[in-house]
Amino acid sequence: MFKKIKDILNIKNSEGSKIEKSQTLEESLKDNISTFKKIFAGNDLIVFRTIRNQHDDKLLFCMIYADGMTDKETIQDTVILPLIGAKVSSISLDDIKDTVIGSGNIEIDNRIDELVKSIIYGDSVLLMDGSPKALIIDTKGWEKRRISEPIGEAAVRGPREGFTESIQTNLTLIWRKIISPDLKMEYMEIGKRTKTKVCICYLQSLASDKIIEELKKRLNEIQIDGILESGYIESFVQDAPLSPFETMGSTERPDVVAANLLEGRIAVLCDGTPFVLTLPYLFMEYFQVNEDYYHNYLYSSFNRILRYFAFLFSTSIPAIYIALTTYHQEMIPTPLLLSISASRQGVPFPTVFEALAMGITFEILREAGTRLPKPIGQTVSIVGALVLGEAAVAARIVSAPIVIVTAITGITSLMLPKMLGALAIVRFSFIIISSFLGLYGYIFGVIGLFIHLISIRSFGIPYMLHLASINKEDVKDTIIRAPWWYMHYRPKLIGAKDPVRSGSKKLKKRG
Amino acid sequence: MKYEKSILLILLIIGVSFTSGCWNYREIDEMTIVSGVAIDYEDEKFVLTIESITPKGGQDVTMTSDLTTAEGATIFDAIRNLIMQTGRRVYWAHGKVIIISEEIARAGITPVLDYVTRDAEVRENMWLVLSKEKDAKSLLEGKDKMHDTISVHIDDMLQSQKSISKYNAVELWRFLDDLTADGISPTMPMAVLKTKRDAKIPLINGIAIFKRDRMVGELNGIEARSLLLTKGELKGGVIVVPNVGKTNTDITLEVFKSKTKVKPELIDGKLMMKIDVKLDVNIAEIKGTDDFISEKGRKVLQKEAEELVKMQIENTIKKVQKQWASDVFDFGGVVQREMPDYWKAHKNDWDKQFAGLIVKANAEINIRGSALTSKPIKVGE
Repeated sequence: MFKKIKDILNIKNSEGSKIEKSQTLEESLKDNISTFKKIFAGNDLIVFRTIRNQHDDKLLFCMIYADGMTDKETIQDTVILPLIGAKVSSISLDDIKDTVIGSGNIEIDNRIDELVKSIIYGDSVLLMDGSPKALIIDTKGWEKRRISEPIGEAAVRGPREGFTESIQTNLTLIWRKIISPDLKMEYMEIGKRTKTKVCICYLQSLASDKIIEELKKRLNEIQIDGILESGYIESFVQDAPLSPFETMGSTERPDVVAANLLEGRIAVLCDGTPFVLTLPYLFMEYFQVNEDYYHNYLYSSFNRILRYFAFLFSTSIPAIYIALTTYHQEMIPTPLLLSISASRQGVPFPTVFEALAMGITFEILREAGTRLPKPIGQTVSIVGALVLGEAAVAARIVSAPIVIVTAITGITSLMLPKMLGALAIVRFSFIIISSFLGLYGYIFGVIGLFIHLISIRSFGIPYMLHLASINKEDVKDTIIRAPWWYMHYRPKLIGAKDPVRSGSKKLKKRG
Repeated sequence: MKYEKSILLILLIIGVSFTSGCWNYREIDEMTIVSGVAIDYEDEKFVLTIESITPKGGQDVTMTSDLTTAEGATIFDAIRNLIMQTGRRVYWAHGKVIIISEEIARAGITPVLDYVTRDAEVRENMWLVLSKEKDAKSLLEGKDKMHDTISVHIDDMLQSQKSISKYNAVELWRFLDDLTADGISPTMPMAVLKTKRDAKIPLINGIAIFKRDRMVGELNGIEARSLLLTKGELKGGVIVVPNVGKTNTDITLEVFKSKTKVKPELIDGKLMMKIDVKLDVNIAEIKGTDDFISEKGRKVLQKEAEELVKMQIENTIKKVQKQWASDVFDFGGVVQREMPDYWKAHKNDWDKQFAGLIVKANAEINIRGSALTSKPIKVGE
């Protein structure tokens, strides 16, 4: 559907036909039709259907609509057939609107630019001979993908539905989770040419007014010709745009969005993509998975701790390995040192080169695997595992430990799928810095990383909120996932309007 | 202007990165990993023999050990001369033992220890072993079935020292501490070669006594145990009580726990050391059929064992006092802590004071059990 809009718009603009804002309809149907034909010249998708009433020859109409954007049955049943067969006493557009056409959503307009816009959105425009006004009839209807389980965020336990490309569908999915008049949805239009519909969604009694205001301000400042995915909006709107870490979340799951809204966060939906943005987004959200909240709290806490370790391993293992084996051999236990030494005999490249080469190879395999169709994707992994793992070691091109190191790094990084990009960047910079500064350099890298993370804010909320705290309430949804009946408060600052989430009314507001 | 500044900053960062931090990048496979070293003195030259581990193979790992010998006027000279043969710099951080020949020990050990403490790579937790063989080198030439590397074998022996207690295990730092501290003389375990079938394997037994930095004498296994007990370092080991109750039955006790209290006392202007030893033991073996597990038998056993331990301690101390007058028991340290005034007055002639010390030992043995059986084996009719 999206491509179609784009096609239409492109063709329209390439023709160079400009609509003046003040231009309005004429009385003559012929003139009007020729005006529209001029505007839509070269676009064969636009249908001009002329209709004559069977009882009155003077009743002439013209339907203009875009083929494929509209529902043919609706047009036929609610507009064309009634118009042909209607017996009308007076020739007035209002009468036609009120008595003949059986569509739920009709408007009257005479501005040509508005009418053109409606046609592009999938509505039909009904022109009538002798009337300087036209009807805009809601006949939108196009092929949509059905609601299916999101591929990117599979869950063992949890709702199976995921967002689709249609913003209306997505909004209803959220609405069905939070049935409350408190849920606000505000439309905006972004993109000079694509006019993409964007919707800000929040719970009024929870979300911070200041953040909403700031978000709207930033959204209004966007100057771009087209928005094709919510990533466009993200890169315009988010804080710390140069950082590899995201300060806005994106998800395909309505339950995740609903949970975010209930914590006082704000969602930004964008037409044409199943990815919904949430904000403010904190560092610890990388480690929180929707399933955590559905499973037993012990299991969830365990998984969450595993993810923290995954972060440590994925960023640090190659760097520490290089630092130890090339600078601090005395820190390796003797038997391990000997076996590393044995496996490195005859390997021609320095350890740093090995680590970088294997790391890049892994990234190549990952990238190749994601872009390929599923059946070929498996071939890639087999070739990757066998050729690059076994054969490279057997041929003494790389040593066995570095293959293990790369494998651990790779597997653990897959535990944090949303952070893959940031992890790779951090990992490679750690490798490089520790290759010429040893552990000393690695520690510098870690300090640098933390300084960076702590300095980031997402819409005014510190990125590392709760993580530097050992306060009982702060730990409940960070390091571990406390049972729901024990997790009394919403995240600090974000849910400040109404901090108590569950439990008795006696709980005090926290300062 | 802005660009210039940022370029300057980047250059600075790159410059600083390369000129600071750890400079000695080297690959693991380019090192000769030393596991042990033996130091001899021949013809006014130090002869250094290192045992290095050479791992081989990519997938099937095998370890072989090689001996390399080099001479030099000083230890460091000899170490650098090693490169002539190994081709690579030797790496000391994973060394396990330093074996020193008796000749060097008797002449004074300081020249050897200076380098190993000064160098950054040598770890202070290497074991020190004194070779009773003429060449310290010959110990490393021994063969052992369990390990290809003799140093690892010696390391194992010293690690399990606490369950035999017939020698002590002395790490380099410990020896240096004792050497430099007032009121205590250092000691070191001794190793010999033993022929086992055709192969010769190193074996550790007994303790070498040092006076200042020179070796003066040695203690056998049982004396070594008494030394450890007096110093409060006994963690295990066995005590054989012979001919208990004149029944011709030898009983072996296994030590679990020991507690030693050394207290100096002045009696008529003469210094006396009171040594109280408390041992928790188990009856580990009864070489006979007589019952020493019942309360009556146990009392007899306890009394004889206490007497034996007391005698051994007193005899050992007397032997050291008389023959070498070297305070390996840390009595000086005790006096220093307990009677600082006395120590200050007699610090300078402590050797003499030590030789003239009156020693009174007292042992208290608590027999806690008899392992799995509560009766001696009774032979049926």
